[in-house]
Amino acid sequence: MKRNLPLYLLFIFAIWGGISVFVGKESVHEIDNLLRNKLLLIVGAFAIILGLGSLIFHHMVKIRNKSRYWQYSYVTLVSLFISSFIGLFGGVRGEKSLPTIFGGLVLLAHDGQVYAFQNEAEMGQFKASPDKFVDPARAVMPLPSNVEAPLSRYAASSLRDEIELRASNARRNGIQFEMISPVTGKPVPFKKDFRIHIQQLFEGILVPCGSTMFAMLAFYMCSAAYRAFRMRNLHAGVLLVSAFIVMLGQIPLATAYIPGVYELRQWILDVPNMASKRGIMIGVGLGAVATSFKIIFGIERAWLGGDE
Amino acid sequence: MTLHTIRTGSTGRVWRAIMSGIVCLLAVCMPCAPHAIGQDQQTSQTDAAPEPITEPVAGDDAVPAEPAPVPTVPPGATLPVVVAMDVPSDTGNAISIRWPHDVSQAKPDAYILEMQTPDGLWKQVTRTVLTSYQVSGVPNFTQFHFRVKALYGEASMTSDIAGPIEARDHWFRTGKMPIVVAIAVFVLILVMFINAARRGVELFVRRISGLNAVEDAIGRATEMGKPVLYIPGTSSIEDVATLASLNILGEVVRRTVHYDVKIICPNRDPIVYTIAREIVRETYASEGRPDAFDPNSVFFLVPDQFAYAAGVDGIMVRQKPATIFFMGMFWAEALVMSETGAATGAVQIAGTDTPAQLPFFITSCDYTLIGEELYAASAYLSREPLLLGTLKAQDYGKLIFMICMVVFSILAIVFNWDLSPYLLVK
Repeated sequence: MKRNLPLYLLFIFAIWGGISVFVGKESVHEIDNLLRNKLLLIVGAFAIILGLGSLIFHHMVKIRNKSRYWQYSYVTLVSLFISSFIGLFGGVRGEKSLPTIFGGLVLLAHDGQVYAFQNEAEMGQFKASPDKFVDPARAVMPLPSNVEAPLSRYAASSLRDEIELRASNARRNGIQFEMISPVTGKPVPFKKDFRIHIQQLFEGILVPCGSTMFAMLAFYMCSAAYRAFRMRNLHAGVLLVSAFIVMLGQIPLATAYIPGVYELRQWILDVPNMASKRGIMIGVGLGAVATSFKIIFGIERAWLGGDE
Repeated sequence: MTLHTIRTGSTGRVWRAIMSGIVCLLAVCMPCAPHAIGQDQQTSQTDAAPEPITEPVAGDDAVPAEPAPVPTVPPGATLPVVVAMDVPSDTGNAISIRWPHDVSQAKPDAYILEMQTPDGLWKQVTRTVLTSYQVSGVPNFTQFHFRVKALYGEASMTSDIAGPIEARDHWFRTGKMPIVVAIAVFVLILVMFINAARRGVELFVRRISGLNAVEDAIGRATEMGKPVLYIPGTSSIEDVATLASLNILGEVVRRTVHYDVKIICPNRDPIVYTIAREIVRETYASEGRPDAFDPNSVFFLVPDQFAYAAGVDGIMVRQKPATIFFMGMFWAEALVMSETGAATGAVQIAGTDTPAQLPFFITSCDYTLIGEELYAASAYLSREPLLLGTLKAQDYGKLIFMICMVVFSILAIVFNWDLSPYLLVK
């Protein structure tokens, strides 16, 4: 039963998924959508717990056994717990309870406009008698339609990001970006906030690290290309020549001075390259169908750990 | 004094006179009024062109009564005839509308398609120069009316109303018929070869050098006393390439158990991790070595693409595996990982169905399974007759495809037979 139940379940769900491609009935699609998206999402959520358990266990064992480079496991575990803590208590954009140090900018939404103040006291003055100070000409921006007043922590945080983006775009284009307080009439200085939330970690750590890894691809490509384009035999020679033509066809200077190189490049990409690509894709399509049938009908059971 | 007494008195006569005047005025204006009211009820938006412009029919050459420059449609322009129908054999929520244009008549500048919703309001669906449109996202089994305005500069002509028409979902999507036929043929071949394999017919399978090297590569790891690193792709479990990779994992683990070599399997997807872990554990059990299974050998690394690549690179550099398998779906991280593996001196066997990553694997790995070889690997390694039968079916499927392509090309080139309407999937 332990072996057969997954097979029965797989058969039922897979056949249902297959049928929904050919049946147009809305109800069939709704059930398929439920299985494909919602159920998978729930399974994924539980799998994340198992995954985290695995990660922690893996590194705990390394630390306990003092395996080679066990110190790095501490870095992983500490990072995991710090980011979890910030995610839980700082929220996605600082909307939760962790402290935020604002860079001298307080925002208020009033009459469909967003006003900036230097501090809470200025904002308090405005709130006390808005009719006296209200001046749409001094508003930083109109209140976006999807944002409600009074501004929530999350909305204020998003608006500050938006203002920061506008300011940096203006600076890039040589335009002076200035915010005037409607109460004092003086410019409101804009400094970056210090916020502790998960987006900060994502943008400040994960994205630059990911970009670094991605940038390394260029160097790896060079070394791989060097190995691939060494003319050891006829095939490698054909590869070298065609790659040279394709690269030349990509360069504006070469296409301007060498007649026909662009057309030749395009022909290589559209005819021999496309033909081989389609050949692979047809094979892949048939292989995928065959694999699916093998698994659905229980012929292939390696994913269950074997036949026994 | 009540209101009633005022009206019946001398002042009342004045009132009556005023009221009579109003009634007379209304009577004079009456011919226009009902039309205007009806238009208000039916149209949600005000039309820039005055309504009389939409009224003229073909051949109506009456001169406008007023001398003001009222925009007129060009002579010979005809009213568009609107045909609305439910899109056949679909999943519903769509209605197809056509208003063919008579090429002998003056061509409008544009058309405005309007739809009357069940609450009676007309709303503009699109402004187009085409003569057909598919309205999607409408609820099923709800009646709609349609009309088309042909625009000639400032002037316009409005068609008769088409409808009521409702979108329906259908049981069978006939547009998918080519897939049904292709799958039926393929399943037939599959069943044929599985039966042949069951009868004990010897099935020849061509040599795949990348898979022949698996045994040697694991043997090398045994001799060197170093682990085998298995990367099951970076995609999720929904990908067939991941499933194929997990099938190969079972076979690879079977050999590592046999040679008593450590296997390391870092995962990017938590669902793939749970399945990979079960596969490794069950394979150890089925090979009679449940005690040798190290739960620490299969683990979840990180879900981010390049963080995963960095993690795998770290494992390669620190643990220096003798053999590395890259099997499944890969994206831009493929070369980052395989080049690092090549730098450590490991024997690398890759297999992917992503054409964009194949050149990278071919250049940086010792052996590469191209496209469908990835799906054939499990059968090839296990040599199970039933699985080999499916492998043969795969090859025959490709043969049929090739024959069809040649035959259809000849039919199209020599006899000018265009079979594409019957072969295209809608």
